[in-house]
Amino acid sequence: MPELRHALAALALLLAPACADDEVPDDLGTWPEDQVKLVDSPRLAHLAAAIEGGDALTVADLFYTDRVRFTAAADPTDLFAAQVAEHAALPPLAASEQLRVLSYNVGLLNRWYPFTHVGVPRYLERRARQPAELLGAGWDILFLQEAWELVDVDRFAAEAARRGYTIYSGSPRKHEQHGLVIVVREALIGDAPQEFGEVQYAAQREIEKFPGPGIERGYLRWSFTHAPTGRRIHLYDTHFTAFPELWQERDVQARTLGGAAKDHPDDDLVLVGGDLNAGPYYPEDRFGGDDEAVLAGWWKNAMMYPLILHYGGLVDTHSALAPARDVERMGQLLYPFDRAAYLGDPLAGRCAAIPVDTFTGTDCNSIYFEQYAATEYPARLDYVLLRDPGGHARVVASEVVYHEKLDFGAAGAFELSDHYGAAATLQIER
Amino acid sequence: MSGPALLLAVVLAAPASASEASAPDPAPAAADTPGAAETSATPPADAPSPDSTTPDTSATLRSIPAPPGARKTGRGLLIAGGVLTGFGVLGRIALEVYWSTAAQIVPGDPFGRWSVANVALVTNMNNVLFFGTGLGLLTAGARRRGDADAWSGRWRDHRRMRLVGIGLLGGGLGLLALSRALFIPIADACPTNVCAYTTLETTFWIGAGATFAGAAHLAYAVGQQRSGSNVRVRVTPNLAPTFAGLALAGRF
Repeated sequence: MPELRHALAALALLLAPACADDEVPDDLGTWPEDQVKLVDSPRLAHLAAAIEGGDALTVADLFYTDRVRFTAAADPTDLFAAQVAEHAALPPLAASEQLRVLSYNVGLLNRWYPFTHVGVPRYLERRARQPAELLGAGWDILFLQEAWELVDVDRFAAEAARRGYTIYSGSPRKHEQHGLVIVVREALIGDAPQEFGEVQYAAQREIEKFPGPGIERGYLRWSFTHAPTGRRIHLYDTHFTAFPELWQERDVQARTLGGAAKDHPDDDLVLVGGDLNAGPYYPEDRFGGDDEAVLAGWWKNAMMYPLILHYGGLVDTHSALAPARDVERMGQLLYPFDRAAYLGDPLAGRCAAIPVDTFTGTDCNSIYFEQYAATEYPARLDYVLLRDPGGHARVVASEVVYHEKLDFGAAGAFELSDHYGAAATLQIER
Repeated sequence: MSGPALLLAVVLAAPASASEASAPDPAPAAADTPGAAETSATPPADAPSPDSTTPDTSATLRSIPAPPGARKTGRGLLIAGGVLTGFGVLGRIALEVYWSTAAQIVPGDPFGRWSVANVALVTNMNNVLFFGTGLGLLTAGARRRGDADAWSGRWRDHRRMRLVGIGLLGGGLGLLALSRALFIPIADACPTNVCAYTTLETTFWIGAGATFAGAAHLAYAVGQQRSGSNVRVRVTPNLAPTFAGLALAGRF
């Protein structure tokens, strides 16, 4: 949202000397995943081709700004195809149970901080409707982001209790900072002990917390035994730092979360849902922005996606059955960026021509447009990622959901959130 | 000299205060004049000279009428303090307007703990910049005004004012300190934002009002009291073989 960016930029300038940090992890280089050469990793090889001297770089080098000079857009087409091929190579499951998973940024931000308000439009109308809409749709697992206020958590909890779900939102104090909620259908939770975790990343944009709107990014973990199959499932819900210029924070967060997701037995399933705030592909380095300035530096934002796959040993469920279409959809945008055209009509009038199968953050969403209008690339920001080294799960469907406008009566018709949802249907081996 | 000499010794017993010492103070008896400095070297009048044959008699206390306009009235301080306090009041009202409009706080929602740091920041910015300095100036002005009023003969019951001032100041500061120290439990106990912010603002206005009023009362009373002590003089008859006279001592 432009006002948030303006305010944060001003605060950043003001506080930069006090808050300066380079976001290089303290233990960088100590993990085996850090030491992999880009060209040797199926997840990261496309980055090597786009970075000056990329053939010689290791993963650890990607965390140093002076070592990462993109000369072209990193094209993940081969990575998408490789994930499809890996998934297709898995044998069919003899017996399985279906698991419907949703990751959805509900956009319930409505906060003030000194001299500024930051919020997603139509907060009051949307918050009232979301619990019933989301928990009445048959999802088994819901990864929700941006349910910042405890009162909104209470609404989800009340609806969950009515509909046979159970909910985890972390501690009250930290919840207000990360805004994350995981909802699981109660009948799926076996008798084995459950484990819960709430972690806030070391890499933060500190001014988001103070004097900003009290935000400190993190992730929630919930481990339980899937009653129908007896399979241990570990859920991770996260919301990475936003804004394209903050790619470093995001990459470090991806490393942290990936490392946690990987730290489970190979026969367990790990599901990561979240708003990762960066897409896999940005064709041009300059796009969007405020006023006269066109925002530059987008190419670096394409590193988050392969990094989290690499560190977590994860698979993108949206690129399991068929290659994700990020490259194709990005190609349908108007280039070079024309601010007047993008301001005049969402995506310069191309929303109708671009299928809703990829972008989850896009000006085609009226609430998103009201906040961001022409300031950012549309992108796939929301994901359901799967770690399944044992081969006990199959992706049977993946789609972008909650993109329709709903009738809110006198308030008008608009989407349920400023994001669309990322949904995956899995089969879990019995 | 054959006849008894008349000696008038004026002794400055002690400087009234650092601020007064630094301020020119023409009255009475030109205490800052070189002559006064010379007389300050004489033995204190209430410490009788070894030559004195007359024991020190009981002190005589009198008020000395002062020349009008001889003291600083604190007007500038009061005006400056009032202006700054006025800015503080306007700033606080603006903050309340912001909270109730542009901040889009949902009145019926519970108070968000996340906002405590920002509440502290924005309120204390205003408090430190305007209310704090305004209070300091007003207090200094009230003290000086009390002093000046006493000097010009306008006496008030400074003991009563002092008690009222201490009561108001203590109560105001106590209310502010207690309500801020306990704000999180109070906010947690509040079912809504309306309750939490109303408590915050009500305690602020009552606490600040009492603090300002109490500080002004107390400072004025102190000013009057000190001025009262300043105009106490002691007139002591002295009789020695070589002279006879009166020694005048006191604080001016």
